Order: sequence, then C-alpha cells, then structure tokens
Amino acid sequence: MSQMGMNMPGGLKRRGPEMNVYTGVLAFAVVALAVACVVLWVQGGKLGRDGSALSLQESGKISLSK
Amino acid sequence: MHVVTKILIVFGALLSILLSALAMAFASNANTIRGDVGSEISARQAAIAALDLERTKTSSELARIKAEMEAVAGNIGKFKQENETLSAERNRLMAEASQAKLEAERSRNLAAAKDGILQTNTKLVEALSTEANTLRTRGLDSAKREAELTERLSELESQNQVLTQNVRALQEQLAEARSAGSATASSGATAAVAAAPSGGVESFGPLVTGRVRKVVRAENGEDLAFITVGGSSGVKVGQRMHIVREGNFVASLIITVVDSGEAAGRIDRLGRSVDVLADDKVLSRVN
Repeated sequence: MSQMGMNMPGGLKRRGPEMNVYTGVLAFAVVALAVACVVLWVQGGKLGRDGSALSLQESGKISLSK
Repeated sequence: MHVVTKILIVFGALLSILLSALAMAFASNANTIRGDVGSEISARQAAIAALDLERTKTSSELARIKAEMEAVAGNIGKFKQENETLSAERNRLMAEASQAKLEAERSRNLAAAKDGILQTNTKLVEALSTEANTLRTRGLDSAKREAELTERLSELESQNQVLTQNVRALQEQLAEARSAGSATASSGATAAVAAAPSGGVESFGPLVTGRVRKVVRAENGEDLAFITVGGSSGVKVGQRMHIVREGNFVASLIITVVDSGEAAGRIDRLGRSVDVLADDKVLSRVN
C-alpha cells in the first residue's frame, strides 16, 4: 500500500527529500554569486567596450562609456 | 535531493559561468586599459618633460622679457628725464625765440630809423648837390661876368686912351681957337640930359654893343628906344648908334639921355617904315 502512496494507520510514513543545511549554504552561495555577477556586470560595464561588460577592449583603441 | 536544491545548483552553475565570463572580460579589459594607461602615463611624463622644458624656455623667455621690460622701464625713465630736459630746452629756446623776435623787431625799427636817416641824408645830399650846382653855376656866371668885366675894362681902357687922345685933340683945337680968338668951346660932358645934334655923331672909338630893352612912344610922337648900355660903356649924348636885327640894319638911334648903365635915344628910321623891337642889337658902329 505504501508503494501506492497510501499510508496505512500505524504504518511507517514515507519521508521525501528535504531541505537541509547544505540547501541553505547552496542558497547563500547562489545569492553571493548573483550579487557578484551584478557587481561585476556593473563594474565590467565601466571597463568594457562601449559600456558592455562582456565586450573586449583593443589596445590603443580604448572606448569607455561616458 | 530537494527540488530547491536542484534549482539552486542549476542557478549556481549558471551564475558561475556568467561570473567567470564577466571576470575574464573584466580582467582582459583591465589589462588592456592598464597597458594603455601605462602608455598614457609615459606620454604624459614625456609631455610633462616637454612642458617642463617649454616652461623652462618660457621662464628664460619671461626672464629675458622681464629684463627687457626693466631695460625699457629704465629707458622710459631715461626718456622721461630726456623729455624733461628737452622740455626745459624747448622752453629756453621759445624764450630765446621770443627775445629774438623782439630783437628782430628792434632791428626793423632801427632799420626803419636808418632808412629815414638815409632818406634825410639823401635829401640833404640832393640839396647840397643842388646848392653846389647853383654855386657852380653862380661861379661860372661870376667867372663869365669877371671875363666880361675884364673885357669891359679893356674896352674902357681903350676908350680912356681914345678920350685922352680926344682931349689932347680938343686941347690942341682949344689952343688953336684961343689963338684964333673965336668960337667958344664947350667942355666937359655930363651924364645929364642934354640937347643932341639932330643927326647924331658917329663914334669911332671901341665897338660898343648892347640890346634894345624897350621901345616907347613920346608925347611928341617920336619913338624912343632904351638900350642896355650907357655912359660906363662909352655911350655919349648925341652919339649915333645903329640898330640891327639878324645882321640887317633896321634903324639909327640918336642918343638923347645917358645913364651909367643904360641910355635912351630917338629912333631914326631914315624914312623907312620899320619897327624896332625889344632885344634888337645895338652897335656903336657897323664897320
């Protein structure tokens, strides 16, 4: 019965995956990564070509956003 | 594994990829920019060095300009002093010019006065010249008169000799008359009025020459002529004289009145109708 998802009274209740401390650490890491991405995106935009954080500058042809 | 965990793992992986890309791009850009910044810094230093050199040059130029300005300021002071000197000189020259003008005016006045004196002297010289000419003329006249007087004196001496001879002749005649006892002789001639012979007596003495001064008509109808010669020239009462004009005989003149310097007589036209005019020539004899 338990295989069918039915719990019988007095029967052992089946327990699913649960969040634990690692989930919290992982959530904090995700949040830190997100913040780091945002910060790096903003700061990279200042150094990137034409204000884009992912575009690369060419030597001698530096173009920064105003 | 909880689904949230799975989702978080997926998001974490994606964010990691994104972060790595951003980090690489940032690092590359940072490297490139740093290199350019280094170049820029080098260029800036070079520019600063050039600027310093230029500033040094400018400073030296500025110092030179300052020196020149100081020199110009000194020159300005010197020029001001020269200007003051020249102004003083100008004032002195203007004063001298004024004095020179006054001196010129005084010289002109003196020249005008000298001109006046010169004109006066010229007039005086002219007057003296005129007077000298007058005196010279008078001297010539005097010399001429002296010559005439000398000639007259010689004539008188000649007349005196003639008269002396006449006196001798008369004395001889008187002696003869006395001896003959007849005829009374009248002697002595006077310068007064006397009766004249009607025909007159021709004179044979020295030639007496005169001029008719004027012709008048007497109450008895006779024409009388006054002549410029008289007793001092040897003219006598009763003497016949001859009036000529331009070498031609006009009439005879019988002297009736004799004075020392003039005489008068009756005009004898010898029956002709001629007029005796003033300034006609009178001769004591015609030959």
